[in-house]
Amino acid sequence: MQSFSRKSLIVLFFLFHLDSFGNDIYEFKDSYQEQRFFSLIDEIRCPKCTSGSLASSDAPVSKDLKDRIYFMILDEKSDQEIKDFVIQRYGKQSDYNPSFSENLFLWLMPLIFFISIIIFFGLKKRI
Amino acid sequence: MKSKIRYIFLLVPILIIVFFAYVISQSQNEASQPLNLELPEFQLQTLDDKALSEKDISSGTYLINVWASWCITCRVEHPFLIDLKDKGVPIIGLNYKDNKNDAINWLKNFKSPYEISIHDFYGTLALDLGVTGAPETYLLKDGTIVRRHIGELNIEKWRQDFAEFF
Repeated sequence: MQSFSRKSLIVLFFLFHLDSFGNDIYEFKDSYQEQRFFSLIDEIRCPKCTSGSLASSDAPVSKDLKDRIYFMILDEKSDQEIKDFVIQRYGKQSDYNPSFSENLFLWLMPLIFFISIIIFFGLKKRI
Repeated sequence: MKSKIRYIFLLVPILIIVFFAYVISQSQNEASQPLNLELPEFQLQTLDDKALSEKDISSGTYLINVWASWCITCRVEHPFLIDLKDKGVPIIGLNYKDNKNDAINWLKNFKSPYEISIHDFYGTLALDLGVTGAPETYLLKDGTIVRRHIGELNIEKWRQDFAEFF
């Protein structure tokens, strides 16, 4: 019995210990704010990394940016205001979810590319 | 006639490939970027314990150099900054996430190229400027950040992006 409780204490110690350094603790007013935070850090690119979101990065600048986003959410800033803050400083490439209408040309380019090739080879057969 | 029209459809994908090749080559040269960012508000201490705010440096043209004593590339960059200082270029040092005593000793050992050394221990001003790490150099012109260079500043980058302002 004594040995069981000692083992349980050891297990509990490690469980709490892992939890304490596993994640940064951000406390929100409600679950909507929390949802916005996690969605934003997923959509914003880590400025120091070749590729990867803030959520996936432990770089010091990512940590600072996550903290800033957290405080901006608490400060009732909108998602767009937060993204504008990041884009103004770290460029348009920071946004992993860019607006469709602003990038229509890029979205349609592969379609135009393949349609042109299909028409080119289609006309060859007819001629 | 039909065969000529056909070749227009071949031209479209070729132009698309050329366009993408151009965009990719441009993005690889993006270490120096033109910006138009108003100098953010800040209240920080200098390394010699004087209070400094954005108002103190809002007029005139300065280089802002982000550095730290733990940054190896900053040591490589340092002789060039000393050259610039000797030529009369005013440089503000932004000491980034550094131990204050280490920073002061670094400047004592290697000579300071800075007119003012701001101590940004938490990196708050740096984050407002869009700093990703050290070294980085910004051009501040009458309260607006107009250029940014990520990485070591050397003679080529200086001539290419900054010299025209001094």
